[in-house]
Amino acid sequence: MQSQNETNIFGRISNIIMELSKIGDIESSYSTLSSLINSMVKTEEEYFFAEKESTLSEIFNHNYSRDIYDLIKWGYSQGDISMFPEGEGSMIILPISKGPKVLFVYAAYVKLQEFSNEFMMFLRIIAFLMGSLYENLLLYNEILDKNAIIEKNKNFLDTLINGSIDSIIVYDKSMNIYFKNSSYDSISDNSLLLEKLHDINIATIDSNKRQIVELEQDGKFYSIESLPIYFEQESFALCFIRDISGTKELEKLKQLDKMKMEFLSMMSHELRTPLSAVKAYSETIITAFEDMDRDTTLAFLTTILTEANHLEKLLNDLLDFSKLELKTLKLEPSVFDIVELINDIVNSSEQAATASKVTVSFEKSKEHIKVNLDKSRVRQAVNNILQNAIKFCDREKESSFAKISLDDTPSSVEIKVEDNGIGINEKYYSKVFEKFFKVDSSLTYQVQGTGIGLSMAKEFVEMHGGSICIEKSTEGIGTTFKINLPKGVL
Amino acid sequence: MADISIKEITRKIEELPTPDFIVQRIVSIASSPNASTKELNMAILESPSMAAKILKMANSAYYAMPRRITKLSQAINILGFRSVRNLALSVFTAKSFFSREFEYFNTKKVWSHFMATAISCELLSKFINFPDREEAFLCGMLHDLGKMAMSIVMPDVFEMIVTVAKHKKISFSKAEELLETYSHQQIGRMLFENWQMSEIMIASATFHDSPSLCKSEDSRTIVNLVSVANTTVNILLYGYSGCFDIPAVSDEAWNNLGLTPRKYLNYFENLKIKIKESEDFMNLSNVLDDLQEGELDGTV
Repeated sequence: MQSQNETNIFGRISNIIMELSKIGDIESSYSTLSSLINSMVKTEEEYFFAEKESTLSEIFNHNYSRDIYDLIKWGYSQGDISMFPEGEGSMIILPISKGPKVLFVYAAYVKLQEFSNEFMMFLRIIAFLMGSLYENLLLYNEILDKNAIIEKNKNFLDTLINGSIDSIIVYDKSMNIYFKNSSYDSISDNSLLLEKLHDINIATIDSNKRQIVELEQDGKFYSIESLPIYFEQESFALCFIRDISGTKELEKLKQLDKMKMEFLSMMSHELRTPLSAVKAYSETIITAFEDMDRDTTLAFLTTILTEANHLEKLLNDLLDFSKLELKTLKLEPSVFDIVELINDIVNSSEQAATASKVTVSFEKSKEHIKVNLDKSRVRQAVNNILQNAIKFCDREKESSFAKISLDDTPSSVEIKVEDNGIGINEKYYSKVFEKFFKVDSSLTYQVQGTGIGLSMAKEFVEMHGGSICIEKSTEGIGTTFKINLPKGVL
Repeated sequence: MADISIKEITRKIEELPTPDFIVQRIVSIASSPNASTKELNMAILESPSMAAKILKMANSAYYAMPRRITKLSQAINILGFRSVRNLALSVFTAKSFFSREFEYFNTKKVWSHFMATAISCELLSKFINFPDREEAFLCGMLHDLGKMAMSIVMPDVFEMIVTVAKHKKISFSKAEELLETYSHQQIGRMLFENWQMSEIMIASATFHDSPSLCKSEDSRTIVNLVSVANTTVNILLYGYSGCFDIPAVSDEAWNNLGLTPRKYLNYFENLKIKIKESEDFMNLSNVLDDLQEGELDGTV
């Protein structure tokens, strides 16, 4: 008899454990508890009470009497299993607790008043096991809730980081990409930029110092900031890459505007000087006409003519320039001998060259080279380069020279203008051909000029399909310009 | 002190009151799985005065019943078989060991210590998630019964121990050691062995003041539990059990039960309230005084 009961006990315990182990969430723990109780005794009514905002309430919103509430409340504070006689039957009060804390109270009405010791022991075992399980489920839910919050925060941060127009990259010590935001995709195929990023970030990690670099790549400007960071005792380089081309473009426009203003004021000055001369000389002739001898009058008139010519030239330049700006300038090609043209240019520069003490020479490979180009524009281009060479001669040097050389190829001619003038810093190589550009706004050098000469030369050469560049230049040593012109259809 | 031989002590212990037939039957029913409410009800009603006292205790503030319990069967269903058994044993113990008074020893206070330790054990069970709360209650309640047995078996030694402990401000056990006498733990053990009580009850009586000596895996937790609960009650009800030192919880028991300062403090504060609320439950005269006959007739 005794052993029979024991098998019965063990059989039920394993059944209870099996059922409890199937519980995966709080909801199913209520239904499992109910079915376990009902497997032993038939319940008429069931209630589940838990403390919510410090008041006890029925979890499934079942109606209950004041009496039941009192019993539940007692069970809640006592934490012990009880069977309260209630009419014909009893109310089972089963507090589910872990430690001193009651997690919830199960109550069921059964039509029984006689209970076996064994039944009460089983309720006790169920309550005990359920207590531990339920508490774990609560903790599990808490972890899930926390995870959801963490996930949400992470998504928010991801959105922020990916929404940034800056590319954000984190490199580890071995220069592997540890993190990148989605803006990084826009630069990920720019291998030259990536190479530079690589170098900058290596420097950051090696020096443990913040680096800020601006660089130009394929016409785009990037601002790169790289700083050392520490994460879990490892050092990383956090790198922001911002495309600042837009900002640079604006800066350029502002610069251009400023240059135009400078150009305007300078142009007025340039025009004013010959005009003042013309005015002063003619006034003198008018007021002192009777007293002046013939030679003086002639000298005065010659000066007036020279200055008037100069004025005319300036105005022509200005006209050409505005035509170039408005793109209304048309080439008028004709066949001519370029050797002859350059000889002509060299001869006409003699006066200016002598004044600046510059020896101008011309080396030609052939006596005659026919070309079909706009003669006056080619003249202007070469003349501007030569005038430039003369203008920027180095007065510190004992002797200054400007050397023109002409080479002939089947389809083009190459004109080089070499001088031993003040030279140009390498960083200005491409800038000298920009409109109005003068190294440091004409303050450094006592040189007159409108700042459009080289830019016009470039325009004219390019209109002919040719190219112009600085072949080499060193500050203090001299400059060599190189013009390549196609000969045109002959 | 050695003038009392072990043989003599054994003989004297055998002469002490043993649980009568009714109490034995209650104990046996309470531990039988297929016993029913009816059976236990019938067994207790064999002694109407026992039944009345159990009912009175069940209605005490300690249980804070939401409604008055008028029938013993209700008390059995509500409190459970083993809680009712515990109450039956408390009634028997009070009647058999606490009916006499001493000049140097306040039995009322000792009784309070017994019941407070029972309450303390039950509460601590909840805090450390020990499932057998009723057994903890019983072990706590009777752990010091050896002291009462001592007062009957060797009253002069008992008087000396109490006097020494009181004047030297040391614990009862320490005084026993000083006087090189049999200890109340040894006497308690002999008593319970004689009564054929459970293993854990014997272990609790034997090792509650020296829990580290308990080598039985099965009893270790309950011994540690009784040890901590007893120490705590000695703090709250100072001197009630004949211990006059400033007690500290045993390290080993503390670690074994997985206590933390926070958990213990929480338990301590709860116990303080519980003991205050349970004055009538711990009151010896409530268990000893016979009830009016009429009061019982109406309920049974």
